[in-house]
Amino acid sequence: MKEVTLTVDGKEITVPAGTLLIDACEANGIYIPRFCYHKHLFPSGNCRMCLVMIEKNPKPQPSCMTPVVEGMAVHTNTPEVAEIRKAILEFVLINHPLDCPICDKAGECMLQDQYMEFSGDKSRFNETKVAKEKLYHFGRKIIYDAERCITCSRCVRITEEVSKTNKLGIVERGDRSYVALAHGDTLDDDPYAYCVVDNCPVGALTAKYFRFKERVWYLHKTPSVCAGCSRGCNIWIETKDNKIYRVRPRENDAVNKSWMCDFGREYYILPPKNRASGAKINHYAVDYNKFVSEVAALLKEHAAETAFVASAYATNEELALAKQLVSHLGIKGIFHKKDRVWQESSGEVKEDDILIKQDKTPNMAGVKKTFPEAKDIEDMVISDFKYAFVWGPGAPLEKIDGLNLIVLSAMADQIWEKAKYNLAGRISSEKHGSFTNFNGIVQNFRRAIKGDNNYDELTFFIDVLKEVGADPIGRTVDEIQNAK
Amino acid sequence: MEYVDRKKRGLTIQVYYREIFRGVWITTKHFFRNLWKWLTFRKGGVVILYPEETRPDMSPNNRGRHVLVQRSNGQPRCVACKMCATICPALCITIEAEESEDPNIQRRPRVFEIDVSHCIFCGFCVEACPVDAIRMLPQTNELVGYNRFRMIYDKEKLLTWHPTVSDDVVYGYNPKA
Ligand code: SF4
Ligand code: SF4
Ligand code: SF4
Ligand code: SF4
Ligand code: FES
Repeated sequence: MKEVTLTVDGKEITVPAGTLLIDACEANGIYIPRFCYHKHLFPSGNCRMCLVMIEKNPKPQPSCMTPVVEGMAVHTNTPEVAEIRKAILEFVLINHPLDCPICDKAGECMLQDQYMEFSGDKSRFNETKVAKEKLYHFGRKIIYDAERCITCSRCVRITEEVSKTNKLGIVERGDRSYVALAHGDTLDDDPYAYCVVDNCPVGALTAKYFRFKERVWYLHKTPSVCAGCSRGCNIWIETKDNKIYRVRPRENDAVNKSWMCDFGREYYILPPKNRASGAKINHYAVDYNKFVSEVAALLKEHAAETAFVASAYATNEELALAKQLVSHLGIKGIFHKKDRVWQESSGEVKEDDILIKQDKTPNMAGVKKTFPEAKDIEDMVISDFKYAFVWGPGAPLEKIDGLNLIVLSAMADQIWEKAKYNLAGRISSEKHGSFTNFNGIVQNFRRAIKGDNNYDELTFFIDVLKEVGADPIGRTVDEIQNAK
Repeated sequence: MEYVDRKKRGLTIQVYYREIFRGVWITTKHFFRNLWKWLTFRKGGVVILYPEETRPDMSPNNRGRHVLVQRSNGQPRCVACKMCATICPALCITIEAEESEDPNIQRRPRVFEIDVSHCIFCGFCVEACPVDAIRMLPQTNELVGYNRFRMIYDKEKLLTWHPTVSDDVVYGYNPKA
């Protein structure tokens, strides 16, 4: 790609031709404040916070609308630029209510941050502020506060460019303008509606699920990967006291840019239904060690007549250990399944060309890579087997009914009820690991919360491997900690 | 394991008869001193008629305990912003927010608790409050409870005092304030 060289604040930088000035500066460590510009949206240049001085140009230029040119000389830290920033902030704050105590965005509001960094001036505005609608419901998910809105049009551009529903628009002019839906319309059937909340630079849009639940500075943010479908959007899981309060997309240009779908968010926010718990044999709770030794003995004895059904919710690390176990025991019948934690709901988007994938499991690619010989469970010949090790939820009951079932699952579904041996596993927010997404990108995630009364699959496989006399390729968390 | 470097008891304490007489002497001294105050009609002589009477020697700098300021309709002015809970060095304030029916108020506390037995009375919470919803009043100096759970003051208890403030001094920018 062609490259151009320019000077920013006297420093020479080289960036690809066509880069926007604001990105070129940021890539070289000079942050230019902005409200309306978003890396993954088409620039609209309406807030003017990003104005910089360019030599040979008599007036300040918006750096979010200016592509770099060879030999350009840019100044971002002159007194003039500082004065411009102050003036813009004063202008933005003319009608902005000082709602910070009741605003969900307090603590991560771009207006707050930039006022503290670039202005700090007192208000000179003595007239009455323009009062607008304070509480406008954009459907069941989102509330809009027109007084806080700085009409940066980010939300409008998200519905235009990301979800392509074109639901939002800005109406009226000047200090009366506000964001509006068509009369009677809602954002409910926009599958990416919560993204407008994440990317509103101020607190004008708030999500009902999170509204007033917790202040953002108390939340502990854990990088994770959404397990809602095989896209594997990068997310932050935000927790406090072992409870998930909020889920937000984490930027990754290769997978999900800055977005995630509402289904993925609700996957984490709604408390999981029918969580499995404990270790059971014949429906009686047993000690974990006893469970491990019984299952290990059973698998060893009946390896030839056992069907191993791998979980597409398992991490790559767990799959590697499972593979070691399967090859050590010589289990031949290996299957995978299209499992799904809950039923499809009405109006749900099954697949689109934005993010959402048809395959609702996060790691089918990992299963297929680890077990290339695995067959779909639909092709299983039931008479070949007496036992089945079913891992993960969602196996079709009619395919395995009548076999002796060993179930390792985080969800207590029909199969769980039928099983002779049950061990409750973890869901992805409760473990460390990695998923391979539909086009082969391996992504790590970390544990966000502790589950209670369930067992780590990784530790389980290691323990079973030791029990059957193999040397496991992994180590349990305890072993890692004790090794230190 | 020995953590405390305790001093050895001296001989005078080991021979404890001397200490008994010293104790009796202190008690007697206070008895006659207070009796003299009472005979000459001075305050604080014998007892304080609690709770009608408060201690006369309470410092004017005494902060008192927290009260929540009310709106004119009796609702707390607090908007559950958790600034006080954030600044509190003793971590003794627990707040949970909820949605209020009034769209102009929006946020209000569902739970507001101060564990006064942990509080160090630094007054940071009063300073941090952006809407003047929490105050410490010197009049409210009774801090008694039969056990430590009585020392957890909830929203109802904190709202029993009524410092009155005008409703139009709301949070946020107010050119006339
Ligand atoms: S609601 Fe937020 S994102 Fe939308 S225009 Fe207003 S400030 Fe911008
Ligand atoms: S597109 Fe898939 S991976 Fe991304 S947030 Fe939605 S469900 Fe999760
Ligand atoms: S006075 Fe100090 S310690 Fe007590 S509640 Fe307020 S901030 Fe906390
Ligand atoms: S700082 Fe004031 S308004 Fe905020 S929670 Fe505390 S008492 Fe309520
Ligand atoms: S960021 Fe450039 S004008 Fe808004």
